[in-house]
Amino acid sequence: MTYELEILFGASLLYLLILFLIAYVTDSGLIPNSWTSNSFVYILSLGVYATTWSYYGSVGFAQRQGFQFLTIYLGVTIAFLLTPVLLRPILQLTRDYQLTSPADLFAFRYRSQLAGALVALFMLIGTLPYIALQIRAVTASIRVLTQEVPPQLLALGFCAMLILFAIMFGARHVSPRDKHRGLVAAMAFESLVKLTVLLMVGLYAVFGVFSGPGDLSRWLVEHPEATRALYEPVREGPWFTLIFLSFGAAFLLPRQFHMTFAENISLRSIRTASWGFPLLLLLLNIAIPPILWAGESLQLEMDADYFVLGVTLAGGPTWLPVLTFIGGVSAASAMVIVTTLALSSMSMNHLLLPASYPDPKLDIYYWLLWGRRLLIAVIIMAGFVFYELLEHNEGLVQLGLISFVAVAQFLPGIIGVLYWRRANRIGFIAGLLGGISVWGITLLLPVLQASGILATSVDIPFLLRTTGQDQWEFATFWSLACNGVLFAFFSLIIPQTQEEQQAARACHSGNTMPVPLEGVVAAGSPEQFSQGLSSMLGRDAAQKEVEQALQDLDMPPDETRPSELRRLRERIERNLSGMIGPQMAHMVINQQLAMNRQAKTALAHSIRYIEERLEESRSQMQGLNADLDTLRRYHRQILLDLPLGVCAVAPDHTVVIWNLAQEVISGLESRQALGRKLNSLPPPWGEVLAGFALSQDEHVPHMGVELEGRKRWFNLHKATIPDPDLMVPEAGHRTGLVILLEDLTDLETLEAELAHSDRLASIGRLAAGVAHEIGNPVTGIASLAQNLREEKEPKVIEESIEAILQQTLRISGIVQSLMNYSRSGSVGAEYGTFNLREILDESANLVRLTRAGKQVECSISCPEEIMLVGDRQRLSQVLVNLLTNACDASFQGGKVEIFAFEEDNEVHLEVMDQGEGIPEEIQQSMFEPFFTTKQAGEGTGLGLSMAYKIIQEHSGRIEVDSIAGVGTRIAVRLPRHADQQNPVPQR
Amino acid sequence: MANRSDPEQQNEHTLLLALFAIFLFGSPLTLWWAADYNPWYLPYLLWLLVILIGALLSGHYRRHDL
Repeated sequence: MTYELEILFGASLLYLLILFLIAYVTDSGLIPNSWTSNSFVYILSLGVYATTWSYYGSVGFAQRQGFQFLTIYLGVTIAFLLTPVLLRPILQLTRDYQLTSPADLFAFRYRSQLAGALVALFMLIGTLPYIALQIRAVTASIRVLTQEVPPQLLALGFCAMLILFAIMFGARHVSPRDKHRGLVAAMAFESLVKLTVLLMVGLYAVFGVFSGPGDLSRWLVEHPEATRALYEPVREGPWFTLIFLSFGAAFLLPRQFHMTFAENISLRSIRTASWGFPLLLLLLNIAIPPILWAGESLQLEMDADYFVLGVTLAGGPTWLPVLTFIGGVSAASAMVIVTTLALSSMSMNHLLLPASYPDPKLDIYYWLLWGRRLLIAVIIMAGFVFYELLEHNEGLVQLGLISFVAVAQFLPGIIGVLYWRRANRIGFIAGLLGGISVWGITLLLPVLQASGILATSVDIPFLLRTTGQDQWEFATFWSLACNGVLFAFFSLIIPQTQEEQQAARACHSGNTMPVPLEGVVAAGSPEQFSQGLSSMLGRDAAQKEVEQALQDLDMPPDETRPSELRRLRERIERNLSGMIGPQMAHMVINQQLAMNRQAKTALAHSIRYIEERLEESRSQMQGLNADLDTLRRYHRQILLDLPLGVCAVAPDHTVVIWNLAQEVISGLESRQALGRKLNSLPPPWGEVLAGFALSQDEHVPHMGVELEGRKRWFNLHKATIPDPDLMVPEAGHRTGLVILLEDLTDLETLEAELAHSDRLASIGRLAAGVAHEIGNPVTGIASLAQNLREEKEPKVIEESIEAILQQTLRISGIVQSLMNYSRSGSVGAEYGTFNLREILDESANLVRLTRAGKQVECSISCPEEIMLVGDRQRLSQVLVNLLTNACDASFQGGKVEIFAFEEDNEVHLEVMDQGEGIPEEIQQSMFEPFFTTKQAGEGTGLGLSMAYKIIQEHSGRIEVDSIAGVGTRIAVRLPRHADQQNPVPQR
Repeated sequence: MANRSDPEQQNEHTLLLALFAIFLFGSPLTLWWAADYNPWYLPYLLWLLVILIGALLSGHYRRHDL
């Protein structure tokens, strides 16, 4: 059965149009994004691994090498099973740093443009034969179906269609953040076509060529050599070498890297792919042995590479060969398109851009996009030229395996990326050059010789055979041995640069680039960033990139904080990395957004920066790192939940920590405070905190702050935070600070209420004496008024009126004293200057009204001129409490003496009684609240504790000195000028 | 903190499975399953076994949201 060339051309054209349609419909949003983000679409798109080599070549491979054809998929299975330790870390790296190709990855890790260029170049050289192989498979399949040599124009037309598709759907965006969903959907469709057709051909082989599984089993029993031919090479051939090669190819082949990492939409998909992709490969290969046996039983006279077509031609339905041919076109087109996209991106970023950077006057996006499109065309056409030169000289598998050995040369480099931190660029480049040289001599050279491209007198294949080793084993072992030894040797003897160390740490420590503490960005605002970048990127592109980075970081355009600007700088570098490659981006950023290395950034400045990075890489942490992070979170939570306001500032007084209590106290959210200078905080906090940070005092008790028209009270404490980088602090070097705010307002209110209760209780105790004291003059007034009724003598009347007035004044005095004493105290009553003698007299007079007070003699020895600054009412409450206690403790007729004098800037006040004294065990607890030795109803137990508290508030102290049977002395020391020693003057 | 974290355990299981796969397909054990008298589909069954274990592990850790 033969087919017309036009039918096949029309069928393949129709198929490619369907492919265009799928990609177009997906890109235009007609297919929901959730469909293309689905893990199964991702797995199918990874099926690009199965090229015409798998589709056609596997049967030929199976015929020549038995089950060794499975090695090409078993290595991939092992690589994908290792997803959590191998593929996922690479995926995380490529996403974090916007790396789109192996060249990007190696250029980033080894911080070398040369490394990137070499990788791109070797990928290009290693993959061109593979592209040629695809074109050849398509033309060969046409030859099988038409039984005539297809015109070269057909191959050229096929290449043109692929160029068009790759440009339209694979090079739509410059930035890797914009995924090519249309491309992913089209590649998934291609895999589906390949799988369906191969399974259909397999079923036809079993049920069409044989009469079912039973017949196939019978045939196998009759032909035991068929099974033996599959198993024998496993026991003898380079089985393990091929598994190893496909292990590397699974993620290092340009098309695999592109689909696995660059076009990955969801992190979760790769987990499903860890088993889903091997399963897809198994299904793609399950039909291979039956197709081989069907071809053998039919005794097809053709290369076994095309048995897939040949079997369907031998009497099956007429549509099946065309469908099979379409499956082959599908396998070839998918490989060529994705490989070319990956190679064009690599060549652009690592070969073309470093060699000729565009003029900033040009639109760089336009330049990059069209540059990439041009490269796509050039690479596919180079593949076509290679196809023309190589035609018919090598089997499908041979050309594929040459590419596999080439990409295996990047495996030592991957060890450096993921596991060996010490690996350096010299080692990598030396290893790569060594490995590729061996590869070139042992594999590429023989191909070129056979094709007549290169003429040498040395017969390399013959020399290889004399070693007794298989060609693939020999080439793989010696190229990788040479590569690995050079890589390890140079990495061990040559030290890494600082940049390499940083990149190595970024690759190893949960993908978190360590934060350099040295330097701040010289540009002071996003606007200056734009200006700086415009000389390399052009004005519009620079502005667009800065805006994009600001948007990514949710940062305002007027941001000026140094730590935030450094984050902005890094974000721009990452975004540029996706566009122009990591090394070019690094160079552009270093040149245009220079760091002022002299300006050392304190650790405090980097806290937010570090924390953000730790949050990003949390899911990647393991072992000790994860434990340390848990510990960090625990300590941070303690700080955040501390019921004290915590505000930590960097040496330049920029706020770096602002906890929850501080938010409640200040009414300022952390995002409003973080990164701002203390003195730029909204009032009153700017003044209060900045003033305290600059003052010499480490503690300020009882600071009054007016907040929303209400006075609030705080204790302020601060401590310096030494920079861990400075073992010995330099003289005059400013350090960070932590400031604690203790809100006393509620406590103050409670204490004021307690003090008032205590005064009311005192008044209750004074009431009887007061009543008696008032009663006497009232009786006198009544008598005088009675007499006045009868009295006619003006002089006597005048004397009586005078006497009444005196008695009235006496009553007023008593009432006034009581009123003064009992009025409700408010928190933070005004401090003032007053005469000590006055309040001593007043207090003594009040106490004399009590029953106990009347039974003792109360004497005051106090110079008239002693003045005090403080709360007059509260201090008089102290005196009343002390005197009442002294009177209560005294025996009838005893004496209570009050001495007051000044000494060493202190006012000494002593209240002495001649009572029975206070036992020592009571002395220890007499200042505690609610402690009393009096009968119930006679005392509240608050008096002395209030006295103690009030004296403390006045920066004074109170002491007890008591001797049993002799008496008690309560000594109070108060600063002479409370306002100079107590920093409460703001009251 | 004495308990190993789940990612660590996942990594261990992954490595063990990969070692098992290498043991199955890359060691002299191949001489056992690649004997001439074995059914032709035996390598596929072993391959499927490895994939199924991988799927079970993946499902287990998906439930733990790793």
